[in-house]
Amino acid sequence: MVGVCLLVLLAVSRHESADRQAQARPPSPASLTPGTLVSYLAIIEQHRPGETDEALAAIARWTRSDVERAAAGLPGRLAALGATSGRASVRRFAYMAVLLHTDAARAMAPAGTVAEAVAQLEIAESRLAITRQDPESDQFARTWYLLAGGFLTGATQLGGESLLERAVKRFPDSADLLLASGALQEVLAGEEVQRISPRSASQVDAAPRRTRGDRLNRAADFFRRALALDPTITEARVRLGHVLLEQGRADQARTELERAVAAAAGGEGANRFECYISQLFLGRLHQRGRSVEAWKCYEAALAIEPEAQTPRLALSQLLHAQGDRDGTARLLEPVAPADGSALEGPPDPWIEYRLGTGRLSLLRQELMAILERVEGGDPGAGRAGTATRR
Amino acid sequence: MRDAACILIAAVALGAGADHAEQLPTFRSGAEAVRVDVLVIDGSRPVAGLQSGDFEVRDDGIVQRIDSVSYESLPISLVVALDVSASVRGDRLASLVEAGEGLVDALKPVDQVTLLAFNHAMLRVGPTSDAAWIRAALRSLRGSGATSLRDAVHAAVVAAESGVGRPLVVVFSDGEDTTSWLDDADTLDTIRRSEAVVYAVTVGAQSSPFLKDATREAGGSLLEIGSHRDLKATFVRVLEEFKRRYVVGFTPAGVPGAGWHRLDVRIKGRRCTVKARPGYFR
Repeated sequence: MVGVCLLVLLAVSRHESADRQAQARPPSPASLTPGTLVSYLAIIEQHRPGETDEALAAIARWTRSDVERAAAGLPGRLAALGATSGRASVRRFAYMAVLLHTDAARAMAPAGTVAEAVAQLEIAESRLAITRQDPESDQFARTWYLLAGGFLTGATQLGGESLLERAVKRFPDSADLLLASGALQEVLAGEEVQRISPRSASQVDAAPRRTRGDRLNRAADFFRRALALDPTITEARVRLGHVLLEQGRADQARTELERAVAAAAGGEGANRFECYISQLFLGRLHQRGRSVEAWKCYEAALAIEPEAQTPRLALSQLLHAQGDRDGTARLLEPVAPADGSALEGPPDPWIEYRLGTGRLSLLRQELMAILERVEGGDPGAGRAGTATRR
Repeated sequence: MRDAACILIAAVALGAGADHAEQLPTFRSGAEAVRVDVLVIDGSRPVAGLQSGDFEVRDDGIVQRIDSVSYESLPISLVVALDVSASVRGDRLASLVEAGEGLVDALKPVDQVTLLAFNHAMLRVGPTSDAAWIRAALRSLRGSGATSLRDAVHAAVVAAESGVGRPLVVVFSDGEDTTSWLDDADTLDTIRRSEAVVYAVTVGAQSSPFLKDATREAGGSLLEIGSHRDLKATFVRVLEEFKRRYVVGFTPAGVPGAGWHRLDVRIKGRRCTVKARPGYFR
């Protein structure tokens, strides 16, 4: 496969005199000339998907116009190389470019350059367009939209709305994408996010500023549409319950959350994750005025995930309000032992609910699997993966 | 009340019930005697040398007889709660570690310190008087993960009031809360029921309404600085200011027993700024 790509490099370089020196050996990404296709291909080829490497640093130095100039005219310029690349190579180029720019976005976000991260995702999305819309490409695109939308929802919070709108428009019958769209609205409705000033938000998100109420309504609508397509998506029911709780519709929220818990017991596709989160939200539902019921729900969550910190925090808050300082401190002891050595708490599904990091990892693996099938010439590359339902 | 009893029974079942053999120090809300940590400022300088006769304390509007006033004589139970989420890396992290060390260096041997580093999880070291242990822990910190600020503030207040000494919490955060379970109301409730004084320091971030509320309810301050390079000086200034606060004690009289009590602390015959918690739970 490396040989095929080097042939592509050599062929393209015949048309790009500025990069003739790149023919001899794989160049260092940092030494490449921004804006040329051969440099772009070299960076793509040298990037190891999922890792933070020199290729990511190199592409981060390119402006968006550099990238667009390098990729202008694709896939025609690649297709012109049919003798050495062909359709499979065009597809492979697209998939690897998507993974490169997605990793670049992931690497940029923690440093606070959210606008640049969003721009990288938009470039990645534009690379999807150069493949034909067939089952394989659809599977890759749908999975990538879930990954990118989930990343923006969990890591940066803003910027994913327009991306997921395009995703739902392309795949209107995807319950997963409807769930992801609702989850984004659920996050954007959060009080913390709502406090971000419009001026600040405009730097990272071209989406319109919406009120908390509007966001919650949109989230509920997405979750209901997802459930209408597939009633077994219990996570949509849990999130709908949460949104109803935030809307002050306690009775409806309780109904949805208890249905989610029952679905777990009834084997209708729910699992510990949904059951745990439902118990936490039921605890919150009861917390104002019905402390005993709240306590029982948080205890139930703790029984499901004995190592998780969230039920202990919730229980300790209740106990502190009753004036039991000793009990409060003891409840929190396992959350942060006095001789802590590493900032790694035990797995807590609440964090997964908020950030979706575990799911993002699965989606990335699914994208990699599709890429590997393309590289291996597997005709079944478009079959359903593991991280998406449909 | 029935709720409370049931919760306590459940807490015992969880192993969280009170161990009556172990007595907590007297710095707690709900006890008969109430202690209020008070900062008195004239212009920009703390005022020293005040006596009990200089203070006027009103509990729900009723003037109270002051039992005691202490100044600079009590040990400190400090909790340093540091946000080390993914955005705190490189120079930012180095400045934060240096600031934490500066804070530890400014403590007296009788003081105790707990380091509570947090992202979406928490790491606690202490309480201890062993500065070297805290310094080593500070130097081992690495920025990663998301931010559970409210959860950490709740845990920090609980840790501070469990220590031996005047409870002080110094919180640093440079971002928004993305993963806390506890909401503003939950955490502010914890603060209002505690005697811990909370100071918060933010760098370049958008003003945090939560930290503003939290520090006000705890009688502390929110310090918003422009550069990480100023962290050390700011941390040390916080500690020096805290050392110059008075602890005013009184036994509530003529006021209702249970619930929230509004506090008003003034200095008689002087135009001073007085900073103290706005009330307490009894």
